[in-house]
Amino acid sequence: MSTNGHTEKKRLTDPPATVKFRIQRREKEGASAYWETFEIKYRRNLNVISALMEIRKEPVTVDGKRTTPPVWDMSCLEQVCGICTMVIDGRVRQSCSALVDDLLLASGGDTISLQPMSKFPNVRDLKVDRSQMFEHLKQVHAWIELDGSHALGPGPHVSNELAQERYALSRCMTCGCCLEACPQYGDGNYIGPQAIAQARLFNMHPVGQITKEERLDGLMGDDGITACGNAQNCVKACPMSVPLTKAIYETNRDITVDALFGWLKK
Amino acid sequence: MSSGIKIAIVGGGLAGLAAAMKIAEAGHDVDLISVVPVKRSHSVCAQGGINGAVNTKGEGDSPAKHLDDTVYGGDFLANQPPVKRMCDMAPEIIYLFDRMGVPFSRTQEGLLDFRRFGGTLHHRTAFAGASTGQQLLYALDEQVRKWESAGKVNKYEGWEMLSLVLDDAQVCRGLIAMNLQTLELKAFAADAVIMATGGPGLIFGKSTNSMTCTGSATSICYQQGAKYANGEFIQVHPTSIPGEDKLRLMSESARGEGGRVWVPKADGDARRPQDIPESERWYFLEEKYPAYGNLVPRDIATREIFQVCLEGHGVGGENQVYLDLTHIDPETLTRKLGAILEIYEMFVGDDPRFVPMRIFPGVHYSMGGLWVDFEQRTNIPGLFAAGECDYSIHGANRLGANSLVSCVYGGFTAAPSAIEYAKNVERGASEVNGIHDAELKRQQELNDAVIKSEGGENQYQIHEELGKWMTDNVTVVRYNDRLKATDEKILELQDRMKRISINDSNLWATQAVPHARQLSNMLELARVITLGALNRNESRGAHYKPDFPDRDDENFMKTTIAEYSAESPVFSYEAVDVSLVEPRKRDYSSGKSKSH
Amino acid sequence: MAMKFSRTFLLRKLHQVTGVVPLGIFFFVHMFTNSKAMNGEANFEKAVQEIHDIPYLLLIEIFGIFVPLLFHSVYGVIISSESRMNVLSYGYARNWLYFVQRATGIFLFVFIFFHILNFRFGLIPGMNPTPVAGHADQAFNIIQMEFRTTWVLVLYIAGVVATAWHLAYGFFLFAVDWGIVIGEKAQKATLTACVGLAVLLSAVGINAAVSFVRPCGIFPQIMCEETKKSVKPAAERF
Repeated sequence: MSTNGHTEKKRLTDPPATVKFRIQRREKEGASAYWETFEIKYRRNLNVISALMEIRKEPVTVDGKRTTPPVWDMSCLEQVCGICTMVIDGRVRQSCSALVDDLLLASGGDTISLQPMSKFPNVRDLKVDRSQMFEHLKQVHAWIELDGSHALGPGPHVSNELAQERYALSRCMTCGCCLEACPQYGDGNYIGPQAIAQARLFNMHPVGQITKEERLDGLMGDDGITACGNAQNCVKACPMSVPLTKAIYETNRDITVDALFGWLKK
Repeated sequence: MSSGIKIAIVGGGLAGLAAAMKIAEAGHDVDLISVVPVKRSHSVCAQGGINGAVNTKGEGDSPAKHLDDTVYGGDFLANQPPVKRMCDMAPEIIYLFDRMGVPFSRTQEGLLDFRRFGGTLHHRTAFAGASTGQQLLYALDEQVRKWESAGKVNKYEGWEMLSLVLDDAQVCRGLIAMNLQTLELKAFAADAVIMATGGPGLIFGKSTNSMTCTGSATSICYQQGAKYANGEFIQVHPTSIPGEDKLRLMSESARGEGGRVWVPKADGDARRPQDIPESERWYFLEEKYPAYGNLVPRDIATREIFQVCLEGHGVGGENQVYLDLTHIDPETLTRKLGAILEIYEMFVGDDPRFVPMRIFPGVHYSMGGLWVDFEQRTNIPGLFAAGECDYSIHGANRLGANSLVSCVYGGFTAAPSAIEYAKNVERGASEVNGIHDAELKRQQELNDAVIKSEGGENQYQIHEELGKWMTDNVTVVRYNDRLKATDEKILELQDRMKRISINDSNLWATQAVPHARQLSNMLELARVITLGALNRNESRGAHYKPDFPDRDDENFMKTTIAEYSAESPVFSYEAVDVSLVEPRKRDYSSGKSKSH
Repeated sequence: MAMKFSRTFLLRKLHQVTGVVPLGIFFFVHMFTNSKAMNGEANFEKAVQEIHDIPYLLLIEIFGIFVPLLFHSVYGVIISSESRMNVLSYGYARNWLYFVQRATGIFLFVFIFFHILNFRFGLIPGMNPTPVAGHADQAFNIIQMEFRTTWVLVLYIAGVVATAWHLAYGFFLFAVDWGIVIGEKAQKATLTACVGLAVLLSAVGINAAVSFVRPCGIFPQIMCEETKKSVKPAAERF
């Protein structure tokens, strides 16, 4: 945050005439990967998505070879749906908010590399299948048990502090950045920070905490919370600034108090 | 333990999930078909809040006033009974979301907090940070996931609807959808189908809509016989951030929290906005509309901003004006508007807490949609619609923060309505008589034709041209000659569409085939929008013709109905039910004149 | 309470506990004993003899040290092998710490194996053949002879620093894994304390190692009153 009253983003002072996109491609899941490079004219407000759209329209590589258009996922383009996540210049992020100007400024070159996320099954090119993240939400019962959706008046009184703390967790858009960056996540060994934070979101709620045990149960399996290695990449990689490590450690406390030492209360 | 009733829902946004939850809760089975994982639906983009006259601020707010604001804001084109039902249900809806754990902002007492939004004088909008749509969608997504775990809801994510399955009596018996990964087609037999597919923003090329908002599915229904109503009413949001790939929304809450719209008094003033003294700024909305000021409804704000720029007063002579928040304490802004201000900073690079934002109107919402009766039934038996894809609530213009509530209301109303229908419908032989297979075969042939087509036209080029024509001629200001020219252009594009060449030889997970099919449907709907606008010779709500600047209740207080025919849409008109609030002139330049 | 603990859950928790309680305590005791070398051979050997005199020593050795050590190190290697380290792409400080914890773990797995064979059993071919166990009276000499070879001394110093870091950061990991420390501020404070502890333990360990070849280790000999009396002429050649 700026304190001097004014911030202006750094811009490329001497932009190149063209930008190259080196894209890791794959025809379908299981096929071998190959790279293709495309070149488009530089424009100041270009982001990775608009570059991909331009490439898709006339897919010709930098060597003049006509090829198939690269496939990727996109929807909201405002970094709230999470679908357009990919690995850009080696780091996972949303392609809609990846401005070409910033990327070139950071790398100092004229080429941007695009790869699919590596922790999820690749569908084709830059598109991956993240359905496991939604399965994990089932595993931790990431919802509140209602008596029914009919009119029963307002919910419980909640302090604004708690509401805002929960809001921070609730902004998770299931994009998978945390899982891609996590050195522990992969091959089903670890449920990952995303689902743990969602379990925490509901454990914090006055009504949600009634079924806290079910959620903790979902986190004490073989792929549970103890697989966290505390590399803390998740919280750094999260585009929504979800306090992931805090959620993990608070859940650790719940497990210590309720599960491991719960018998002391008997 | 199945009731034997299966209802298919197309679209997994707020309306679709609301319906899915209600149907599953009632003990029936749901097939939920969505082009993207439902949690990524366009509803996440709604930022500002959800309206409901809970009256916790002691302002004397009531559902009746909410009704009045809504129909008045909609310029008396909405049938009033369903609007009343929505406004009556709105507080319950907000309370339900509260119970589902949505982290709404709270008061010091721990109650729900409400903010003021455009088109009302009351604090009526509940909000969760600055991403209320995201939070509401997630709450329903969670509840539906619970029902999915319980086996009541089957999700088909990554499937796109291609057509309805209609029997000989034009009764809807299910639908055909395509798996976007394998291009495999599948027939979904259902006792009823609920459309909840959102708006058609992509018809305008760049809009504030998500890339999934093609309007393709609603256009399919229209082409198969469903009536499409008030298509010409397209809301252009006054404040969007121009971008290369899309227009990003700057929420109305920026105005709601005190944002001021201005341009420099001197045209072409080259100074930085923060260096221009107060006396040299023209706050044109505050000047023209003293009562509402910057909080005039969207259509008025849009037209004023458009007009100011048209007259050459835009910042730097360009199509942009300032939306200024810098007079508000930065910490308050971060707390109340953090997420939307981040969007601006992320995509433009300036920090709106210290530098006024540059904004311009962008296509945002379709008030029009599938015609439905007061129970969300379309004219095709067995086909229902809810949310932005139905036309029922917003009339000629939608008020801010009414979209979320209308989506949920639509879903909550369509669900029992569809259940009721399904319980009583004659099933006949629809499951065995081969109509599903026949329709599936027809759709497969259409797919094959697209794949084989080789005429050299580029589908993306056609889409770009459509977007440009529609944006230039069928948005803020409309002239009949240009509307006619646009329709001719669309006909040309439709013709060229027959000669496209798919540029992807790898059909696995290809975007080209689905896009081609969407685009054909978009072109059909574009005609409905354009010709509907051409036929309506008045100005009402979002529809503005300088040649017909006044509202004409005598001739046009009517719902436009478009029905498909192979040559051209067939238009007819239906009277509007104004039994609850007597129509009066819509005037935001002074305090609202009350009629009840 | 209907909580179900999976095998992995219990093994991980056990891994965290064994690192801190038996092994952590043992390392403190070990460094304390080693430090007695500062005051010369007699003092050190007296300390070794005192250990020999502990009742139930064999049981304590087996169940208090060897078994936890074996479990902690073998399971630690398994944990490390499941990691997909990515410090080059995501070079954040905490990610490096994650990497270092596994790197030191693997190193210590080899080093401690070597160390035990070397001193506890005297079984490394070409090196000291006499086990310290049962030969408390020769303990100082055995070690001194080995440490006169530079690479051995360097290896042991590396071993002691790696252990100090692995243990101190292990305390931090224990604190977060058991939910004792939660927020970022508390994490920072804990981490700072752990770094301090690692430096302290390393210094003590290095000093003890050096004490076998130089009286009073790295400190001026004035600090160690006993050295003059007890250091043998052999040490003075150094």
